[in-house]
Amino acid sequence: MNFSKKELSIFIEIVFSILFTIFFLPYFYDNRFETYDLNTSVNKLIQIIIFSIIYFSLAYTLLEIFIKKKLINDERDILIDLKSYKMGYILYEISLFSFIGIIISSQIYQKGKGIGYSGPDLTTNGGLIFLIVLWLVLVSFIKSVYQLYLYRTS
Amino acid sequence: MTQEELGDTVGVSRQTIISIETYRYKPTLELAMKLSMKLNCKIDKLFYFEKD
Repeated sequence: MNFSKKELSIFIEIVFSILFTIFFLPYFYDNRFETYDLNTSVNKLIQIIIFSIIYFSLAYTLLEIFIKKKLINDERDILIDLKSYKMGYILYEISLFSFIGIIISSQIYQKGKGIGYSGPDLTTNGGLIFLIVLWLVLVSFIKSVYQLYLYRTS
Repeated sequence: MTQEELGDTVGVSRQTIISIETYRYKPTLELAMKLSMKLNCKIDKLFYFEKD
């Protein structure tokens, strides 16, 4: 199966989402009931930034070494980018409404007014951060997979 | 002429040329004109419009 340079660069993004899910998401999941202090948050953020820089530098360097041809961004690329960004935008919109729904249902549950809520505890910032990170990774993953699918089929 | 050479001369990737050849991508009028000029062929010989 032959992959073009553009497809490989999308593949790099997909692998990043998977690695992020493996290495960092468990930390946010484990701390979903906690309240983060500034030091912990900054340390984690620095770890993520360093990991991202190293990963992307290595991946794109290897890509440049193995495929020397210059990347051409033509009209088909623009069309595929537009379609995948539209998909990402729709997913972000859905996420936003879901997020509002979860916050409201969490608040109702906290006040003891009824419905059974079993999601993250949104009275701490750990729960909110976990939800936001999870959605960002999920949307980014779906967008990249859709982009790769469009490249392979259109 | 290879697909890559043709793509390079009209400013698109080899994958775009492959997609056009396999009817998966409909090029813009500008690209269609460039291709017809490069291949020295009338545009209506190179591309056709299929009515539903």
